Amino acid sequence: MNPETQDGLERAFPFYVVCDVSQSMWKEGVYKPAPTAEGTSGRTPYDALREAVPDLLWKLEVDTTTSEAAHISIVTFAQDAQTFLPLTRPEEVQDLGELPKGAQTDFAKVFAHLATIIQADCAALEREYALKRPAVFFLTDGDPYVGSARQPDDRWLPERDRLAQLPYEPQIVAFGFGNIRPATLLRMATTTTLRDGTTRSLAFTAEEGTPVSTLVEGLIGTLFVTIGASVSGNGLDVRVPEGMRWLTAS
Amino acid sequence: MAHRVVTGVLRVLRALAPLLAAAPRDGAVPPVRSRRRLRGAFRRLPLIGAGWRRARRQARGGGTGPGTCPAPVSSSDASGAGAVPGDADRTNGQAADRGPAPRAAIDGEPAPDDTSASARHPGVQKDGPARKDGPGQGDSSPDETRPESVEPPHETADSHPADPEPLRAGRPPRGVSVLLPPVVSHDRAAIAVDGGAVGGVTVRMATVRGRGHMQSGEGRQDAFAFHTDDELPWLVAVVADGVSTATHAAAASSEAVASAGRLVIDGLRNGPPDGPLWWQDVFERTAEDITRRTGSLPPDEAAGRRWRMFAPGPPATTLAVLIASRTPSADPRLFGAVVGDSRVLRLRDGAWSALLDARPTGGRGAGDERVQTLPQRPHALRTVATEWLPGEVLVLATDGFADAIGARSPLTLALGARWQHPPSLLGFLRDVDFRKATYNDDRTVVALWPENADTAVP
Repeated sequence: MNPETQDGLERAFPFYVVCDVSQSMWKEGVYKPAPTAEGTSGRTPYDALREAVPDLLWKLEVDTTTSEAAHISIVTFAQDAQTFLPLTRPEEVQDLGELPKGAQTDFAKVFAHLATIIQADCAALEREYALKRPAVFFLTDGDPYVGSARQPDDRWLPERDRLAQLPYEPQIVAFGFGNIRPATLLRMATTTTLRDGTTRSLAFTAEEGTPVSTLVEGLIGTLFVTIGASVSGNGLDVRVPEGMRWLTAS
Repeated sequence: MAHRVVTGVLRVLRALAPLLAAAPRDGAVPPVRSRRRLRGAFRRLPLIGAGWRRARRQARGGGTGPGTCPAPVSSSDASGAGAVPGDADRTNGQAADRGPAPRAAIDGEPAPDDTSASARHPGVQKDGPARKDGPGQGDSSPDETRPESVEPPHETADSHPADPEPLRAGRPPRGVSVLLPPVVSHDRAAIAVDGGAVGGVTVRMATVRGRGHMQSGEGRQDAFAFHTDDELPWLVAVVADGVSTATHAAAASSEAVASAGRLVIDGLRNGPPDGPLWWQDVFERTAEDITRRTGSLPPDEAAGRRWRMFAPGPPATTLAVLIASRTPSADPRLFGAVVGDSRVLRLRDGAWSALLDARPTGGRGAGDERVQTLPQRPHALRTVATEWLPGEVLVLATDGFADAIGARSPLTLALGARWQHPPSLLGFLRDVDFRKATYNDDRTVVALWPENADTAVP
């Protein structure tokens, strides 16, 4: 692509936050401690998402230079995928509904959905803006599971590849917690080239010991820093969330 | 007066309506949906809204951006250049002298309301539940969402009647709080500007700290230098852009322009460039000087705070150099070299073109990571040897300015007309300090006109 064609246009950085809302994220007794005699305590990861996502949008809105260029979309998925917030500037979000709740974890559907909306969003943005590479922040707590079995890789990986191979070159950043296997995260994520010339997958996994709801809340908070840094640095720059580590392909 | 009071009361009541509707009745934390509505209601409240949002930012540790300093030292919704006082008549008069074209181009910009979400964005449904209905509600105007715009006692550079109007080159940016860096000195101040005549050439040069650095409390990382020598028939213009994700970015660009300018002058004593090897020697030695200079500095703590996916890299800067004759009408030879995304542009009869552009083509890039820099890549050099055509303006610029010159940019038209002849220093500074949303980088420009226009400056 010739950079001259985008000179003089406003910049647009599309960010997609993909939230797993499958049953394990919201059902009590999975991550949230079971009720005790003293009453219920703690939150489910879904509760944390429900609080943190609007806060992320709010923080982005009040960050002047970030909100000018960042365009954000929220996508949820379980047995189906849906666009919870269509791509827009943070300052233009007025009201959010309740995050949906689902049952299973269908990676094929969410990657297919992302490919469709990112293609359409970017084609429209590119007519008017100097478009930067889209970034997909994929938050999930488990391996794909559809019906009564784990979704095979050859069912969802082609959809993931179709997304990664869009002409807009979206970067997929995978954040995993709960029961997801590192190998799955590494397959989902795209790679980045470090300054020393080596490549590394953009896959991050939870370390032992941090409650998942706390982890999710911190993760969403970290996305604010990541989006701001990416906009000001003119390229994706992820901060490793507290309680998570950057996976290395072995 | 009575009309104003009634209007004010109505505005407050209108703003309060959704707030009251969304307020929890039992003291419990309102659900997410209601919290968003509450925020919207507060935003519509003049004065109260601004204070509430400011309090939220402070409660969140500054909230002006990642890694920002906590306390604003000064506040303005204009960048520093716009704050230069006392030249309004001169600047406006000059624009008038040059004819109406620039103003017409600028005045022809769409109003902020024309840039509403539903009009400009994909995936936005005008009547969708997740967003505003559009400009009709009056919430989409940037002025109404800026806290500063509803604080009458706070006078900004934009609002002072003695200040010239900023040059708007598109959708205006939102106001930022301006934070000073920990150390400010004359050579690293937010703005530096100079100009004058050299032989048959008029020179204007300016560098401006970008809004991103104003918001984060970091200093300017661009630099320029201009060299001549009484014994040489040449002039040398240099610009550099320190890479913000690297350490000691400002020192790297400062050293780059100083070293390259000196080395080029030394080289010219043996004659003008005779090919890429001539330039390669200059850039290699400049790279060594950058390494030596930045290597002697203490650790860059500010860069350390920016550590995210990548550890802050070693010092890095772009560099662009232009050599021209002092008397282009007699000797039109022109030589240039660049590493990185700083550029040399030419402006002729209102039309811009690139004389030297070393940006990579193909792919969408990864921001700073794709930019070739010194001292790492002195051989990633692109050079040019050509002629300075009569009536042509040469513009050496960092990407903060050059990126805004494009086929569909209002700035292209405005400056294409305004820079037919050299503007005043402050007029030039105002041009370089144009306002355009999402253009928040430092900007540096050295421009050369093949005429001596500075013979009777009042």
